[in-house]
Amino acid sequence: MKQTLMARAKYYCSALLISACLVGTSTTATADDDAIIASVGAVFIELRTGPGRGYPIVDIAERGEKIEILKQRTDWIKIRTSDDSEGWVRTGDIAETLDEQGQALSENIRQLQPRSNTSPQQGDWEIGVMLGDYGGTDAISVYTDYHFTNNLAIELAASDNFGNFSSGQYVVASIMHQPFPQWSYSPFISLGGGVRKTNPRSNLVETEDRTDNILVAGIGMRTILYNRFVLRVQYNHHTVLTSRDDDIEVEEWKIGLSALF
Amino acid sequence: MENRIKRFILAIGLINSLFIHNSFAADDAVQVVEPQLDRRTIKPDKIDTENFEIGLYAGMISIEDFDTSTLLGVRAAYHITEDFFFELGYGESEGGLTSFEELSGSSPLFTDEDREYSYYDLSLGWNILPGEVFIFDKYAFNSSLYLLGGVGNTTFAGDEWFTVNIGAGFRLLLTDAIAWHIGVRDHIFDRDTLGEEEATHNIEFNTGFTVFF
Repeated sequence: MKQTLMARAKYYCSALLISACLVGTSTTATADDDAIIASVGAVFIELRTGPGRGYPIVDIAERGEKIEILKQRTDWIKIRTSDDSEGWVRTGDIAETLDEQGQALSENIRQLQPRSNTSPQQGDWEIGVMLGDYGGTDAISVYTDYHFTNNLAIELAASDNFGNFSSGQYVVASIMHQPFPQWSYSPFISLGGGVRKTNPRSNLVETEDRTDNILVAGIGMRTILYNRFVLRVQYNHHTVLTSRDDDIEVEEWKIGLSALF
Repeated sequence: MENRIKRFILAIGLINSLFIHNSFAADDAVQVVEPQLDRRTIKPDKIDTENFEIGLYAGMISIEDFDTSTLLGVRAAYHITEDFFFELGYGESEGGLTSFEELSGSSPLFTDEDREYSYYDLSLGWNILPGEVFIFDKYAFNSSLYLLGGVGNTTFAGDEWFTVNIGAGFRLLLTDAIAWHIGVRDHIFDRDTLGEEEATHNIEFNTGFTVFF
């Protein structure tokens, strides 16, 4: 047992090293090449010690002062002023700053544009978690969407369900369409396909795990709860294409929370 | 035959029209007034975002009825706002002997494979007490106490169990990008491995480091 733990520790350490390298390369690539310089457009902006509303204000940058934009975390942006002090300002405050051409920074930088409407916009990603019922069993699922337009998205979802006789997993890729994205309660339909694995419970008579292809049709409703939080309710109809004579039909209901970014 | 002639004439007409159009265009190219307009340069600027967090942790987990064991795990988080984040955690451990197995001295009831314990959690976190930590005169670190709650899967004793988890943690940002975590978490699931179905509480203590990117 000791040995296996040691082996695992090694495995985890190497995973950390690899991820650290990846992180390292990605940050250096973005930090050096294109430093974003802007001049303050508002009368002044306040610099805080941390990316949060409660952190103390330690400095200000006045109108016309040159600032360098370093990075963003949630709705806060870290900047460096001309006298080399660093601090966090609200994204909304930065949107008014001007670039070298005298345009508002928010015109060129999508991240600074205020989210006026509630629908997902072109190029948005969405990640979320759902909880529900899959054919009478508890089920949880996690999904990620990419919105091509505010109508159309592709989705990759993975789910786990827990029954008295079997548990199982599925992975489904689907296309999703929102006919009325501007509605505050926006309906959607989805169509997809994937793979399902069924594992009968260990206390039953020895039965084999099965893997089957599935087709999924879904319908649902989504609404923005607050800021970039989305609440989503969904009904899916699964057709499990088994190797037996009959296909199995399974109904799935779920509700979940996701974030747009 | 007639068709061919028609096509030929059409083709000539088409080629002619192209030439005529081009010659007109060439005449227009002489500009009297140069426009005094600055071209707008559209830069695909992007601010480096650091909303994702990934890292490793180690700790102890008390697996109900099966002793307390070492735990290793990975966690990834996405910070949605300054208040809320999603977290995905995955951990592995190994259950020890049950009290019955130890006292009776008979052969173990579970195989080593069945004792392998792994879980994943999908949780929503709330930074309930953000703040700063001061160490001596020199150092100030941003920090946050957070609450976590979510659902997940536990694989233990040869089966998978729907698991609810609740917990709390403390995050200390050593730099903007590197954080140290310390936390406790309770994994609750109904298990019928020992005959009757019972709710089990599997309490974990962990500590680890994460990187924001």
